[in-house]
Amino acid sequence: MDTASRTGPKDKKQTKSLGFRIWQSRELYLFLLPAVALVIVFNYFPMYGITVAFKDFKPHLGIMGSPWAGLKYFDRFFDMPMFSVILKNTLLLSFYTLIASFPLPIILALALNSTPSQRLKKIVQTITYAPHFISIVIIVGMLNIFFSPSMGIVRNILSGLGLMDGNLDVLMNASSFPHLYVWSGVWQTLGWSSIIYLGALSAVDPALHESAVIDGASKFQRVFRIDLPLILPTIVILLILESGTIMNIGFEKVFLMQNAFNLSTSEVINTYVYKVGIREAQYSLSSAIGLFNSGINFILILLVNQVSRRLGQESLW
Amino acid sequence: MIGKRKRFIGGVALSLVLVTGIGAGCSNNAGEAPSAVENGENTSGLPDGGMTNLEGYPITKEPITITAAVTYGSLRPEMDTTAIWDYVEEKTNIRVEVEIVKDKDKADLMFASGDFPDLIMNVGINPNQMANAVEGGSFVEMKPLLEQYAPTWNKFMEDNPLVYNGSLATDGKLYSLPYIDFAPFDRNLRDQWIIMGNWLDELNLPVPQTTEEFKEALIAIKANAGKGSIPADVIPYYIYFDNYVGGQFDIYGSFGVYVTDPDYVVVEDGVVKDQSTNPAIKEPLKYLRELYAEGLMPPEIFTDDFTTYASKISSDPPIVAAYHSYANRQPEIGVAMGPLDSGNGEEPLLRSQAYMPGPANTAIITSNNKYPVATVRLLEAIASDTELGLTVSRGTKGIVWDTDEEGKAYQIFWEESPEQMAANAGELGLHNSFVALKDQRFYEETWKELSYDVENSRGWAYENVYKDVVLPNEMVYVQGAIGQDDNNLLNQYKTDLTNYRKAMFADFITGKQDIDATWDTYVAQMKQLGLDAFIELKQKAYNAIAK
Repeated sequence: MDTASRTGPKDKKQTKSLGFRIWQSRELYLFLLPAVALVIVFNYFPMYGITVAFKDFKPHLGIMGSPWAGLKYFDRFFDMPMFSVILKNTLLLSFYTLIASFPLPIILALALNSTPSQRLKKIVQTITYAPHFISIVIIVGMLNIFFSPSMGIVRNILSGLGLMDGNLDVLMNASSFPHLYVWSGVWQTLGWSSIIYLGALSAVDPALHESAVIDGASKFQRVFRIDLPLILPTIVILLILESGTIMNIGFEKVFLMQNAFNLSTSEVINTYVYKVGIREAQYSLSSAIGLFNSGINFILILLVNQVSRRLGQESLW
Repeated sequence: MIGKRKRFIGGVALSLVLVTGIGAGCSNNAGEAPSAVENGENTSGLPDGGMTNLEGYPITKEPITITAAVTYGSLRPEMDTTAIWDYVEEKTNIRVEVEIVKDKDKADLMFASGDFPDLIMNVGINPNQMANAVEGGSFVEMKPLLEQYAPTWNKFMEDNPLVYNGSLATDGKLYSLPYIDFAPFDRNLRDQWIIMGNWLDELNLPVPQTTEEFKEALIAIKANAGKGSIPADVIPYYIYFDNYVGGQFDIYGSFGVYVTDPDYVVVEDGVVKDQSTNPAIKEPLKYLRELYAEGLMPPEIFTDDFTTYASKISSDPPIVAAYHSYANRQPEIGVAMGPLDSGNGEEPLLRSQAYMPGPANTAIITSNNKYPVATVRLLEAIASDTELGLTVSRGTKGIVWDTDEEGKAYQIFWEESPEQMAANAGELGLHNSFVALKDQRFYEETWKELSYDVENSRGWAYENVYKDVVLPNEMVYVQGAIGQDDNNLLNQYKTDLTNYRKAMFADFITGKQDIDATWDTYVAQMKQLGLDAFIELKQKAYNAIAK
């Protein structure tokens, strides 16, 4: 911003200068136009579809033509007898996932970055990245086979070592479901999620490390005093973004992992509404539930962003 | 300067093209209302504008094309290009152009957008989609057309109220025709109960007749694991817990607690009765508890998924001694076992299935169809002309099926021979992806079922073991169409009740909770979750079809 526009008579001049500046860089703005149009067409324009949540949507009448239903579908959702249980399960799984899976990739990235052996680094990276490429269906199949109560690998190893007798009840116990769900997720995503932090770490100026070494700093001190503070902005931004997906607990994995014993802890909003009939073309109810989830996500992202800003850290806006 | 301006104008034009392109991608044709052709008579007063002959072949005077949509099926991947459509065209003058809908999302999109072909084959339409499309006037009412042009279908529908009522949309009108296969060995029995006959022989044991004998046989098999042909890791008894296919339901039936629907109901004199809170079900549950406690059923019955269940019972050489399944997976050694006498005085019976469409809604004429009469006449030809019907349903004559010297049709190969199915994919019919009318009369007069002579096949087992020990068909629960709100409520109750019941029964069988001590709490909680209202809705849905 040039000094003239800052000091001159405010309103008129500033508007004028904005228009003038746009005109000056019109070719650049032209490049921007398709992207803006894309966002408007695909992200803002479809938002009028939210009204489906407040209407008795009939495909042949269209979104605009369908009659208004007020909060009918929200009431139906909140009145479901299992509403409190499924909301509790959803939030529990989400926060547990966030707490368990957020710090570990950072630790892994810091450790990999500090290792002097490039060979070890490559081996660890390959091993930790590999599970990312396995599909959810296979992961759940593996969990069921490994933790199979009477003939799974885990049970066989434990009983072979004399550490347990009888059946392994990990799959047969409702309280162990969240742990199995979350830690298998951590195992699967740990390596892949660390990539972004490794990227951020590669931008750290080696001169800082060199001078720290001269000053006699230990490896740990360098990690905590140099690496960590420098990738903190990346960490904070990712945390804010993660908190905006808290209600989107993966449907497929939970659904596939459900069995007769764990339904009291494994029934989450997405699996429940699937069972009560989202698959039966209930557009309005599913829109209402989707809007509810997005609402909570939106509030959370605002909160975390605000907290981050108050603490003097990075923020999205 | 001019060059700069030119560049700028060029840029603007390019941006506009891009933006318009994006906009065009989002447009839809929702505004175009489909033209309704009522009963196929347009202004000329003749069916299909004079194009369609009222009887005989060809069906139309000139060659016409009808577009159709069907869901992909891995066993019959070439439903769009199969040779049967050439046969149909040659005989009827109707070219059916089939589009295969690859996944469910695409079918859902078709219903959401209202962009329909002339004929909808089996695409797994659900009641809400049907109700919405009917309300929007997208489908042609079928009954008047059947009365006028399809006497075989019309008579069949009138003679089979279960099928007719089961095919009605929520507005009480008929918009579709079903796939009908009334082979008694298929319909009149749910799961066979299979036990490894050679293991029994090795242990000098008879095929169990009572629940006690069954338990003893399983104990003996477990005790002899690793000896003879019994593998060391043998699973004496394996079920897919609480699933209507492969589940423990025939144990209930052995104790006289008849359950004829996955929701634990049975029909007695037209009244829908809940069995999940019937105190009599405690006895079979305790029996299962005994089997589990003896280690005769592994804990995996609760945690395995259907694929694992299927692969375990299909293992060859076998690892499971006894299981429930539609087909005998080891026809050489697996023996079909009847229901077991529990000694409590109740008659032991196995589950049967209702003579219902399998599935319904396999042909829907949409209002885009310019030749509804010709289409209905084609559907009628499939039902009344054996050769055309079997060609459309099974495949090319002489390759997939043929006729014997008495003129009876028989199969050359079918789904039991996946290699032949794959090798002849271009000659296969549409099976249950499109209409067929194979009723009891068809099996008596037209079809020669070869499997009756093949020992341990389902047909053989039905004729020799199961025929007289299956539940009477009027006790089988069937469900008709109810209003959207009722249907949504029904599904909600069903989910809550199923989740709770499943968890409790699993606890009873594994001994985590004592059945006698917890029974009253269990029943009270089921009531709390809306069991009574649920049964009322089930009754309503039953009345809608069995009225």
